[in-house]
Amino acid sequence: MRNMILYVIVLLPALLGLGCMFFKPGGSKKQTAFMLAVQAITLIVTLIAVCGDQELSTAPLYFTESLSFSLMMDKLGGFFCLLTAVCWLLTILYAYVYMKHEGKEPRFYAFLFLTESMVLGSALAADLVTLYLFFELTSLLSFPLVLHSQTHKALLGATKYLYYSVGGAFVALFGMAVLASNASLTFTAGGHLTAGDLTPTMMLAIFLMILGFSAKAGLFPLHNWLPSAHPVAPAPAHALLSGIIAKVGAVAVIRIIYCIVGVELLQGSWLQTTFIVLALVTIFMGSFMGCTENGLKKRLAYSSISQISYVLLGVFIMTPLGLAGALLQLMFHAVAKIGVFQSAGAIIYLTETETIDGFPALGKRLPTTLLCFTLLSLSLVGIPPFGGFHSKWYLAIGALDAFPDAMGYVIPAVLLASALFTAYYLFAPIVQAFFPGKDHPPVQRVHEPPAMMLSLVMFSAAVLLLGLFHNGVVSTILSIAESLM
Amino acid sequence: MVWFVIFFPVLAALATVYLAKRGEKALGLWAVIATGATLLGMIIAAVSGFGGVYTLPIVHLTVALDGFRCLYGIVVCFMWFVAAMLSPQYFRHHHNLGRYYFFFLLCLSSTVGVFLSAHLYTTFMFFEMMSIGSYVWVAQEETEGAMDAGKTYLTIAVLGGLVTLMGLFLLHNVTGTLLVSELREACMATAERDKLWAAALCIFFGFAAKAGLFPLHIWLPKAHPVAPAPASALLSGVLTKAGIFGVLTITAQILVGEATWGYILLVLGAITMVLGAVIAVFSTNLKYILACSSLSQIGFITVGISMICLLGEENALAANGSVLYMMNHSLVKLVLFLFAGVVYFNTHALDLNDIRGFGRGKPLLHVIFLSGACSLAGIPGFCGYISKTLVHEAIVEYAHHSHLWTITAVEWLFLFSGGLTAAYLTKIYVAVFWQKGKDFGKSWGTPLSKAALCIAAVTLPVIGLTPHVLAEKLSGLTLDFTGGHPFHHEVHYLAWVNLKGVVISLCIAAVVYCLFIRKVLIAKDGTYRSVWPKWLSLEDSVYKPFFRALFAVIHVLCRLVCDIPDLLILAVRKTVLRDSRAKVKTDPYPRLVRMFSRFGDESAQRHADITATRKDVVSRFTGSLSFALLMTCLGLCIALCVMILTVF
Repeated sequence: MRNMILYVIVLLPALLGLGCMFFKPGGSKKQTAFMLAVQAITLIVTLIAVCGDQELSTAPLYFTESLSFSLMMDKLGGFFCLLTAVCWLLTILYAYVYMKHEGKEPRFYAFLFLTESMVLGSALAADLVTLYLFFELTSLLSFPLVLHSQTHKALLGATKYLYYSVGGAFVALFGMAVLASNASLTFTAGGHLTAGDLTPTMMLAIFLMILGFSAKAGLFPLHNWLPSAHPVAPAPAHALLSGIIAKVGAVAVIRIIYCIVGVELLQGSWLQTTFIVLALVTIFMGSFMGCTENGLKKRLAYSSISQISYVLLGVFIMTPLGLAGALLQLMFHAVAKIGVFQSAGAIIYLTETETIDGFPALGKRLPTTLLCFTLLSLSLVGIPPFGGFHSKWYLAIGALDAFPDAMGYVIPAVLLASALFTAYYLFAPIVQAFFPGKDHPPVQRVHEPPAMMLSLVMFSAAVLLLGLFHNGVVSTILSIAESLM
Repeated sequence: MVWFVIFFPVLAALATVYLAKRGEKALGLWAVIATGATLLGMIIAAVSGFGGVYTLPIVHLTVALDGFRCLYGIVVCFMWFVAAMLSPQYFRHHHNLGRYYFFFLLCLSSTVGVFLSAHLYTTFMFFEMMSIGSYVWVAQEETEGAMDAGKTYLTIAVLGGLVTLMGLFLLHNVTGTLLVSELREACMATAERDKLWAAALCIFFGFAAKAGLFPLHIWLPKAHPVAPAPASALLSGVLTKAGIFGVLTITAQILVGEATWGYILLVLGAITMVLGAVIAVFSTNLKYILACSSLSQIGFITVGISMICLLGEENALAANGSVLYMMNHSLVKLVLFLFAGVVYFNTHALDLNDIRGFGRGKPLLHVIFLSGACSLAGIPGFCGYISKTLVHEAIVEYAHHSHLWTITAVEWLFLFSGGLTAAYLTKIYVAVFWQKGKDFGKSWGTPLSKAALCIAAVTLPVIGLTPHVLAEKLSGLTLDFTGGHPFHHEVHYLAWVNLKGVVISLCIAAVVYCLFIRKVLIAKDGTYRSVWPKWLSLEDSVYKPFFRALFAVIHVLCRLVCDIPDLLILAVRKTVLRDSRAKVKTDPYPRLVRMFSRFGDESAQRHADITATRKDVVSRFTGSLSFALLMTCLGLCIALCVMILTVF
């Protein structure tokens, strides 16, 4: 019976979402409290499932003889579910204030929770078909979130998002079809293909699957939807899109590489080299483009491109250390980026500053917001002792261990070059915000809504505390990484 | 106790957030109390826990209390304490003081952390916190110059930090450890010399940037003058030494006994030494002279460190000399920058022309300045003389061993730079204390400020007059860290051999001052002229154009790479998958008919419009590739049906 918990985890947010569709909450205090309560229950249930001593899995339900639907919670799934549940919980707190300004709350909340349910499902999927199902549904159900403002720009961005994600998934589908004809689609830790299975066709199939799924994580060459789609979404959705939803792609890639193929088969293959190069290109290009962009949200979207590719890079290194770096990055980037997007949202909401040019003296108008923005930026750049530093550390150490050749030098060098650009595009506005210059006219402090700030402060505290007390976090993540080898 | 020293300033910094509302007096007092408590804690920790290694599970904090670390820990706390004592008067009626004091105390924690750290991971963490925290000092005044200097400072700090991090990655990969006590063995044992060198050079980059070594010195002469004086004293006296700390670590633990390494340091040190001194002679701004002087002194210290490396077993002179030099420079710059602070808060000017005669009739200030200046110039009886003599003798010794004319040339450069040091100090001295200018009155500081300057100044002759009792004892404690060896024989500081160097330097100083500064740099009416050409700046004429060009190229490339997928899609849309243009027939009826229809049969008109639209849609549809594909599909389906029908 314990295994039924998995269905509960997936269904609870879905029911909440459907409920929102029918009862149309207006975003009053009571309704928000109810949503928070349901989210808290989801979190608790997830926690119970994660803390249980055995790995949970449900009996497969068959669509056809070979296509099945099944859920399981291994360490990776549990980790991602927890992260998702926590981020969603805090986002509601933020959305409660923010969405008053956007309007149409019922629709927004409905799709927000439905998307969460699908993200949780993707993390818990026990075979590739289930994963594909949830993956597609994540794209489709988050589409209305991007479209929310219904402007022409939003429409364009959302369509682009849909084309890229669904198109990517179709590319993956082709690979799946080839794979299904040769091997089982169920996930097993360590993979279940043998060297004999890896015919050139099979390699192509794997290549296409990884390429397709990583479109959602914004890997070059399928990255360009991010700067168009993310900035048009309302801030809470934008934060989650970049912080969690895009990472579903990374989780899918981990499942394929680590749970279907097995890393030993891919280490040193052309496939690994290709993807590492693609990830490096994305990292470099994303962070550089961030420096040249003046729009605040767009700048952060480019930053997401580069930062999420860190995760993929770690995944492609294919060693426990590299994967640990990837998962650390997954977590710290999720926390830091959601926080940064929320502060960006707060800045836009409270002062209508949409570009970097509007930053001077902002630190005196919105001290709490900008303080949080600064702390989170330090983590994104990777300044110790903030969390982001540890993920970079493990990525680089992992890369150096895995590649004794030139690649071992190139990976850390690109990571650091990207960190330099990240520092530039984040610190420049911060400096302007706090040091507007002697001649800047005095400004008034703007009231910052406490619910919004609570969410922001929690995220900022998380990157600092998790960074300071990183021993426990790192050992947990290392055990997750090793469980997948 | 050692954790108290590191964490108490952080807590004290947090307390300033509340005190900021209570006004500047409370803040200033709190800074003095907090730094005083930290100094006390550091002394107690050094006495009670000497020789221990302490670790904390939080972020692998590992610190040790060996001789060098204790000594420098105390120097750092002492300097912070004295700087805090001057702050209340300096910052009277200034804005944003909460911010200043917060970072003032925060940086104390991280700077002490750097000097006490026994694990490069810990070092790096504190180093980054220190670099970024001290940005606030540089930009504190928010003037245009301050913002510009801050930009350079932050860029170099972040860049240096990241390159160092790269070095740490490589070092960790080569040796498997970053614990300083294990590094020496691990580095000697490793066979991957290339990687080790790469690691060491990367680490060196960051620390050299912080120390202000050529060619990464560009931030230093910009940042030190614009920061508030107490902060400049610390920037110059302590933060540059954090860079030297790293250079020492590399010399003593990573590249042990590599002659090439010694030569690299020697060349860079010599260039920095001469360059700083030359610019200092030319400039007319008090703080700018002091900043360039720091640059030059860092060069002297680096030359000393290179001798530690080159002399190997016989590096006693170099090892003792370099550490004493570091300490001397820290203390001297504390005195001189605080002196500059006193000048600034009394006159609100730093240009030598505006502060001429400020020191007249202020005997205490006169004595304090002379104490600092004599020590910096290396006059016997002051701390600077001991350190300069030791380093000089080390160079002489190596020149004697190696029979290389280049080393003798370096020796002469050393003496020449020493001469320039004395010359620019004379320039300040004469301008401030002897030339006649405006009347500045007699009072120059509150008792607290006076006490600060006196405490700072008195240390220099105390150490200087007790070379065997105090100075050599102190430097002897640090030999483990610097990889030095104890003295083989006693050094006679007042022997003619040792005094000769000072005499030569002073002669050079006299010549430079009388023939160059008085003749060329001072105009007929006694004003100081600035003849240093503006375009001769490494940053403006080399780095900025180079990086602008590089950025432009990368920008084009990235833009291209970023948009390639979109461009491809666009290209496909414009060629293969183009929306076919419908045969445009905007108006199916002649104009005349239309005119009539407007009065008469409107439905005919509407009908005509609808037909046109339909036609348009149909022609669009039939003209496209997708239509063709659809038709193919249909054809295939029909073919399939036919096949199935025929089979069954």
